Amino acid sequence: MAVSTRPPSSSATPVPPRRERRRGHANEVKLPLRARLRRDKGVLVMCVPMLLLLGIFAYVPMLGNVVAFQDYSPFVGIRNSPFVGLANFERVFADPGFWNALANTLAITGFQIVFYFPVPIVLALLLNSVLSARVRVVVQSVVYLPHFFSWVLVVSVFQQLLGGAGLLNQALRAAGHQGVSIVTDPDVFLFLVTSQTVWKDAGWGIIVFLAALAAVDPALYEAAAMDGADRWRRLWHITLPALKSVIILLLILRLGDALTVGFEQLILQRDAVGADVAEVLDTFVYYRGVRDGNWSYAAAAGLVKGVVSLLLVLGANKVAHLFGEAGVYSRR
Amino acid sequence: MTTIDRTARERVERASRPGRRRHPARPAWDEEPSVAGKTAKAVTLVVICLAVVLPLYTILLTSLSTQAAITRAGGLVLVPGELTLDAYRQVLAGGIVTRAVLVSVGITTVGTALSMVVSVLGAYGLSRSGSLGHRAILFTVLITMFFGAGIIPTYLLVSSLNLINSYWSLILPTAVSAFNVLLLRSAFMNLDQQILDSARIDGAGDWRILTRIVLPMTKAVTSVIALFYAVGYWNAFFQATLYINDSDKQPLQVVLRAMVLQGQTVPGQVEVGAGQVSSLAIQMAVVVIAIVPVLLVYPWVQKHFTSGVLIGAVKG
Amino acid sequence: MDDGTRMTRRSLLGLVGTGVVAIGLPAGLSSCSSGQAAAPPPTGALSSAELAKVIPSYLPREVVPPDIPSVDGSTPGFTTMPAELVTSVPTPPGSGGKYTAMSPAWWAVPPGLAKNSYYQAVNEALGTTIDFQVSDGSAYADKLQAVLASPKDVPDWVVMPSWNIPTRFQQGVGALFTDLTDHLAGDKVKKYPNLAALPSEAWKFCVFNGRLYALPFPGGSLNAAIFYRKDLFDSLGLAMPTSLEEFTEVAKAATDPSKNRWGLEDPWDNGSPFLFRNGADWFLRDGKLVSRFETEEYRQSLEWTASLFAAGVVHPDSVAGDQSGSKDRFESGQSLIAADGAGGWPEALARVRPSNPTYDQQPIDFFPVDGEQPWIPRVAPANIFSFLKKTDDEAKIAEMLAVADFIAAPFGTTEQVLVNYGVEGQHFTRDAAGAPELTDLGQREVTTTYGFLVGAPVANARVQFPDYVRDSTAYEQRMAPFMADPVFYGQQIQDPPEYSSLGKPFVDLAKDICRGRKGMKDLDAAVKTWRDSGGDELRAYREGFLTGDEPANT
Repeated sequence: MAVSTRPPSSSATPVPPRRERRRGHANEVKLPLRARLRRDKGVLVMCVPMLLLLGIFAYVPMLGNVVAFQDYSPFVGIRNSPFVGLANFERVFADPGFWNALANTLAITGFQIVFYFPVPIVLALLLNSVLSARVRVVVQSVVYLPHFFSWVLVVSVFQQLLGGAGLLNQALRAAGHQGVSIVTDPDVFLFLVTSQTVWKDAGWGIIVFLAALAAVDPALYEAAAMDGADRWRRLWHITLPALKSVIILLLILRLGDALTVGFEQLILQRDAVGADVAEVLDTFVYYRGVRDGNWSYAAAAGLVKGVVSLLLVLGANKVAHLFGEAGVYSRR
Repeated sequence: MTTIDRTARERVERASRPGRRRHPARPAWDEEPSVAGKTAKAVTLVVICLAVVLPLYTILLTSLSTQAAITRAGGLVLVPGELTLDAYRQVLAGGIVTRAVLVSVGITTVGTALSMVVSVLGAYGLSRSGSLGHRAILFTVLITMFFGAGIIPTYLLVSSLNLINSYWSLILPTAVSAFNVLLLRSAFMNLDQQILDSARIDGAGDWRILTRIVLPMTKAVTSVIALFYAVGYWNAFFQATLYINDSDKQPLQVVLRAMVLQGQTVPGQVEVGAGQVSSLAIQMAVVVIAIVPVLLVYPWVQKHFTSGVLIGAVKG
Repeated sequence: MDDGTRMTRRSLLGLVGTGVVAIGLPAGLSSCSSGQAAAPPPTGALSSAELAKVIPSYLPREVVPPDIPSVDGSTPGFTTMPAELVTSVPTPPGSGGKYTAMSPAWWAVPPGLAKNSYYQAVNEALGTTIDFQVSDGSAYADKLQAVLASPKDVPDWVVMPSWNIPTRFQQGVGALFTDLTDHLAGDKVKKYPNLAALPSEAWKFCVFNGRLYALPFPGGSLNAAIFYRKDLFDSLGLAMPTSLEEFTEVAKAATDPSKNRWGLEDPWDNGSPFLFRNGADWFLRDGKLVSRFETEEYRQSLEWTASLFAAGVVHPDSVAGDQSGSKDRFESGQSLIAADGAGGWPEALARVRPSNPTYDQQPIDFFPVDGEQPWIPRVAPANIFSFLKKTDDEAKIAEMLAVADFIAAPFGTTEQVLVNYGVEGQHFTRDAAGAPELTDLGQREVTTTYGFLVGAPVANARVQFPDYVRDSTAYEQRMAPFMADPVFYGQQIQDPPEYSSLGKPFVDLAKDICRGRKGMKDLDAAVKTWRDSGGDELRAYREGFLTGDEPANT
């Protein structure tokens, strides 16, 4: 097709020429260790500050997770608390509440990946197509503000709008209608929490995509237009490929966060719809472990969550590789 | 925006309907959208903005309302009643907020600078696939996204480093975000490797390539990551309550949050001081005060969104 | 559970790792405490005779006679400021020491010591420098747990709200904090006359592991009440309900969604269970310990509350679980009945009266249900404690206790005014009735954290609202005949951590049942789960705290 007169590997196209790079690997692997060390000394040194900070401030305290295998009391310390094997994990898995929370968490995550995740992308494309720089800045500055509101505020804004005493129901009652209960209906809860997330975070989520769009060489559009591609074709063949790698990266990382859904958001609306639909893993762990200083239980649940998240990310990464994408974690 | 040869321009202009006014920023090769398309876009943008602006309006209005007006409304105020600046006066009185702003600005500036240096170096260090130890280091970074540490081990660490009550306790533990490093790395890897390779052949070292080519070409992404870090430092609240003991060293979010607590019921018969100023007005004033810096900073970030590519094109 | 050799090695490591070395504990003590972790926690209550040996004698002192004297333990009321203030501690009690103190605050953090003239004034009067580390009250539980796990960071004086006391605190209290028994028990307290005037019940609550460890912040006997908007009731022609049926009726009569008005806020948390004589966690029935979840009254109170929800008389936002806006809705007249903490009453007046002088909220008297008289459990006699960091320095302990004696000065003393309002003319002025009113400087600097170190005897002295003082003391006196000590009253009991989340399913279930999402069958199932998953063991644990002299039917 016409667009291909400029091959995607040319100039500033974000998708790297994979085949060449892979061939490069094949050569590099053969180099002896000392030669590789000499070659990569520069980049290795650059990693040192990051590794130091992570080592001290992430990995050292992470060792504290050993309490998951203990009956830990902060007053006797990790070294003096008795080990209990896997008892804490057994308690986590034996609790039907855990499985209910897990199911709810996955439902919310799945729903949000379908109905929230694409929203910032679409908004970014929409905004990117606005010509006036001033309109763009104003709109962006406005739509990303809700990200800085607390969940308490977001939930109460939604309640003032959709709640039983909110504007919508006042209007319905004034019109002689019965009124609708949106915020207390467990059946529409998924829609409610997702629309809250969209309202709060979609504007903020735009930014990464806008930055990625800024990296697209306008000359590509021009050439495509010259070749007769209309705006939809240009979107499909230039803009979306430019966003592909960041979309995939964020999608994979979102999967890694699959077990983490808005703790505060859900705790605030728990009573409205009941724990059966609003209990998620984080709230479950909070009520069973953290709130009562049951650190061992909380650590066990945290480890389970971490392992599952890691597996999800590595799995998603594998899938990305199958589709020829770099993903988050390259093969070599 | 870009130069274009005369014939092409004429061709496009002929294609577009005569008599329609073109937007000056519209590139010559871009066809004029349909009226319906333009209208749909405008309506969508207006609706989206209204969805944010209207709640913002009630928040602002509530922060400016008297207790009487708030009591009448029974919550957020929708219709303007008696207005007052009392909430802002109370929040800003005595210079406590001003000093906290200075603390927060300092932490955010130093923290963001440190984070960016470390993350950019790390992301670049990880951006050459196939380099020695690259996978292991990447995995080391990735793991920190999934396995956190409890409050107590982290506190014990900060304490053993003698960082309790030090501003560094608000910076160092969160200085590196794996998520941000991965985003940066992805942006670096998406650069045209040929440019980097040819620079290398010209004898440029990694440091030179990073500062002279990679960073200028990824200005948009790096400024977004800087924004992410800055917002993280700016919003940090929990760490400060844990690690900072002196009232005079507390950052803005801690000070503001304490004001929001005012008026909440504490179990038992403890009476918490309720002033004459409505607690809801104060809460909303706090919301407004907290988002002002955010409003100011965005246009600065946005400025970097357009410049990245051109430099790359020049180098290429 | 654990073999000895590994234990020893870990204990040794522990000395290096957990900072025990920093406070100079001998190695033996540390491994001893590790042994304690595996052993069952100490059970068994102190008999009253044993308790009497560790708590201070009670020597009440009346500085100013109250306008409304106490009846059957009701709070004494003051409707006017005394003409002359009394000085109860004639010379500065301190000896120039400097102490750090950690306290929560649920309000704007005041400036630090160097920039706070109120702190400086109080410290000067004390003759001791108290340097406060004030923390956000909502995050205090986390801060406390972290600080207590790191002994070198524990300040000299630590305030601990009762609801923030960490699990397994008994294991740590002895190693971290000073045993005050030998300084205060019995007549030793006479050195500190203001501390001696604190009620014995409050002191009993300060006993951990059989020893006196804390200074109390005494609370009133009345914890919460169901309030109604008397002004709006009058204008609607409604009267305070005197039975369950009337309660439901007025709630229905008050509800008119088209006028944006509903009968009540969710009454579950502070309301319904109290109406049904179910306001405690444990009951003694026929000599057997019964959890409230197992009682018939719990069931009845749930059914009744669910009927209110079903009738549509509960404010929709409250149905949606938004309790934070409850006060705003009640004060604006969107809902006419709301249960609230007792402290919320005068605060509402302070908020609303300036713009609405006729605003009037009153507590609903508890009424007989099913022919049974009301039964109102006395609440914990102290809500907040303070602990002194472990030290062998007798002079330090004596100085801090003398400081506490100053702070505990009762209503009507110069000390009480200084601690609560600062310096006259600088931090406060007096209104027409002589009641102190904070100036702008006072609003910024004055804080209640000194008061959290130790409380004064409870007095209702909101002289700005004499009608409130009269109404609330009268209510307390009307309710006094129905007040009773619940089982375990005044005992400091911490449930083992493995049982601490057993009650949570009932909190959720109650919300579900009230809102009609679940029914009594689910309650039966939950009770069975509770018993099987540790409830019966918790009961057995709790039975160890029965002293044998409990009154019947608690």
